[in-house]
Amino acid sequence: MSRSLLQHPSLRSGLIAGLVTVFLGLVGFLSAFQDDALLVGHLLGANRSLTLGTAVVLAALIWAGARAAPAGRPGWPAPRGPLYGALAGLVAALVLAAFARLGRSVDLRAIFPKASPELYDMVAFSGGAFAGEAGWELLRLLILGAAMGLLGALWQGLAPRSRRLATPAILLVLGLGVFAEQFLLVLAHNGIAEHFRGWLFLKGGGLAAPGAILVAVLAVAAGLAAERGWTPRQALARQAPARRRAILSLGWTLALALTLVLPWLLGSYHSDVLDTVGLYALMGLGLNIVVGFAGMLDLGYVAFFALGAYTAAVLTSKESFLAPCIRLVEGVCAEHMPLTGFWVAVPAAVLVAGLGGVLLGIPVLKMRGDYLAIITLGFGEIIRILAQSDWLRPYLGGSQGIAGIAPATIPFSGIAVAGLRKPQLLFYLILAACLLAVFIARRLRDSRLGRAWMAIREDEDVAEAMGIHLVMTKLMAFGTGAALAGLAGTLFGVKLTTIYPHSFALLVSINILALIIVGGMGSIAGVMVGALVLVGLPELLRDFQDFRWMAFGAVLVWMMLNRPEGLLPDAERRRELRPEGAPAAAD
Amino acid sequence: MALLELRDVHSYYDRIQALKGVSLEVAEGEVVTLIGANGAGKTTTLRTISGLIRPREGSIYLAGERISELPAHAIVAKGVVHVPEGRGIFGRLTVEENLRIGAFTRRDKAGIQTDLDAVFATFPRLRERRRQAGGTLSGGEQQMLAMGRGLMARPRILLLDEPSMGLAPILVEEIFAIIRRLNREQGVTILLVEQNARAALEVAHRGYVLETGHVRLAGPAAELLVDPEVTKAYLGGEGQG
Ligand SMILES: Nc1ncnc2c1ncn2[C@@H]1O[C@H](COP(=O)(O)OP(=O)(O)OP(=O)(O)O)[C@@H](O)[C@H]1O
Ligand SMILES: [Mg+2]
Repeated sequence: MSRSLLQHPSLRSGLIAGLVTVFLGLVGFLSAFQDDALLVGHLLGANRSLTLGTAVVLAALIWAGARAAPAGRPGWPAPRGPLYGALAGLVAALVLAAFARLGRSVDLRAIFPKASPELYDMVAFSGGAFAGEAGWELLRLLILGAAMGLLGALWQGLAPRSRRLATPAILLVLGLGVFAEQFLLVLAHNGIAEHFRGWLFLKGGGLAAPGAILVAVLAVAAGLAAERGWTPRQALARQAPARRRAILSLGWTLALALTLVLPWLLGSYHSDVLDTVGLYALMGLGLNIVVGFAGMLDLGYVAFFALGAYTAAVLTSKESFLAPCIRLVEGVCAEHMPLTGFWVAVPAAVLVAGLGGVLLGIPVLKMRGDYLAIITLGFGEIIRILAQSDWLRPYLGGSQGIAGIAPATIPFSGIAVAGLRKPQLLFYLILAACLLAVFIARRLRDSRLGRAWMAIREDEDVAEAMGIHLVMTKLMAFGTGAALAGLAGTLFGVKLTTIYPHSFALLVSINILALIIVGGMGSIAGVMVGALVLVGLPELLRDFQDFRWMAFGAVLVWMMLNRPEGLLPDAERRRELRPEGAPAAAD
Repeated sequence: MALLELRDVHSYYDRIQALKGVSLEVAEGEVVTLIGANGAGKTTTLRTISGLIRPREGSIYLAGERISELPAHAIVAKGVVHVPEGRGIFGRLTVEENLRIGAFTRRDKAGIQTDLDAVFATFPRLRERRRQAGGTLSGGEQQMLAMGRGLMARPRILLLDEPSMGLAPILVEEIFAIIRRLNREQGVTILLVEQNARAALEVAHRGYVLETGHVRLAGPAAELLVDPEVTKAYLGGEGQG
């Protein structure tokens, strides 16, 4: 094959799309999603469903066409675009056909356990209702490939405006399809599932055609409204300042009210997910002070989470070595003090974790960047290994951890909040902690100390020359950040009632760091969004098994390439990464 | 009594000795310049004064009080303010945020606001760009920002390290004019390190010539300007300067 032919866009795109699809099939990605119906509808005389796996194959074909089509005049497909697109789809389809043919004649399972006959049926779009002769199968696959490639090319040729309108609609339909089960669960919890089932979702879990169309129409309508300036933001901007403030505060009140009833709307499974999101958001807010505000890369943040959790557990568990003493003290104090257990544990855990932050801070004061990251990483592991060690087993329970952690008792009401049984109640505690942390973080950011952190983050030497006390300023960042992790640790213990050393693995630190980066380094609102996206979504995608981590990784890479400043960046970050004139994200 | 006095100061970078017994004085209201070849130890002298490096021998006095044992932030709080070589602008912070960090050691809100307005009056270009990121300013504007940030600390003495470095001739002139105005009109005491020896000696009252960690020559600026040795080594190639 000549070089120039290999460089032809159709051939290249088709090969890439085909081979990537084959790869996804061989590692089991496609089959994992084969049971998830995205859309369900009546087509060609039978009920058919579009599964997520099939959708991925179709998307690959469409992508090949879109990539191969040369750019034309804006709003028009380039003259050769449709041809190139169709060709690319054809090439990709040929690759899939060859793969299916190969797989059916040679058993690949010895090497690739996931290479099942179902996989070949899937990539060749045969089997089931479509089973038929091999010749027909090939022809059908090629026509489908060309058609999808053509579709991609046409999409590429669409006016930017049409694409802008259509993209959210498509994403929304896909999103609703993927999360159909979750929606059904929530709807069922509220007893209104039956009303929606018929037309929005179907039994298989997918989105029904009328529902899909309705959602798409709504999304396009919203896009059209936004074009005319009918977004809430702009409508608000048109109001007089006094009214704007009134509307805004009403909006905040409504949002708060909604948040307060949210756990009861969602039901206990989703409330539990929300609790986890909240805990990560809390830790994100703390680590954001260290990494985002003060610019010190801390990879061992989980250590302070562990310190808080273990302190609280030792103080409140009935299995703790301290339990006899505590019972004694509580017995004496019970008449005078309505606050016991949890409420004593919170300040203690915050204090211990905060002190831990300061103590870790002292030896690493002189470290910067990479060195700091490595040392903190080591510290995080040391804490976990200590907790696991035989040496501290009498106190911390070794790898069995500490069980029987007391629930949080709401003072004067006698309501006990233990996470496993009452995730909805625990949500309020976590929400209160998050609100407190947001308040603290905002006040600190806008304070003298906040300015000192920013200066240190930007340039430590100059900051010192400006009269900033480096030692104090850094230790304050480590201490406050760690204290918030300690608070999260206490709540974590209440949530699970048992803590194990392995809950405090390195991955937790990395997740928190990732959610800060995805949300937007240094941005408080970004931490919230980051926690929802990086902690909430994977929880909801549990039935996708390990592939959620693969998707997670892909999303991270995509984010860093296309939106390095994060989803909701703060002002400085935006200034650095999106100079002049680039659209600003909402704060 | 001199406002700032260095007595036989020795400074090291690990085992490399950069200052081998530097003594100098700056009186209140003076502009004193420190000139010398690359690597002579000018920057090191300023860093030692502001406490970023601790002298291994010798001492430094501010208005008779020994400051060479104090940490950097305490020295700044005493009014010794260093505008570092290469300006040290906080690139991602706005012009105004940069200026406010300059006033970090102060707590008088009203006074800071007054001084902010005063800095904007001295450097009108900074006012126009107050919400712009410091890193996006031109070199000359960054130098103005660095000096303005130094002034925000209400310095008793301002240490300027090569303010004209890398600037176009017209901007160099402007910077020296500003230094003169700061001193003559606002009475700011300045210790000025410069490569641009002629311009520095023209604005200064007195000067010191530093050579590999020693003070080689010292005297009134007007005398140094015509000193044959100085002319040959530091003014020779510079033409009109
Ligand atoms: N961080 C450092 N580590 C080791 N040696 C250093 C360091 N900084 C400076 N030196 C050395 O100290 C000596 C004096 O350097 P200094 O920066 O004070 O010179 P300078 O007079 O400011 O020169 P220039 O005009 O080039 O800025 C030089 O020999 C230099 O190599
Ligand atoms: Mg220098």
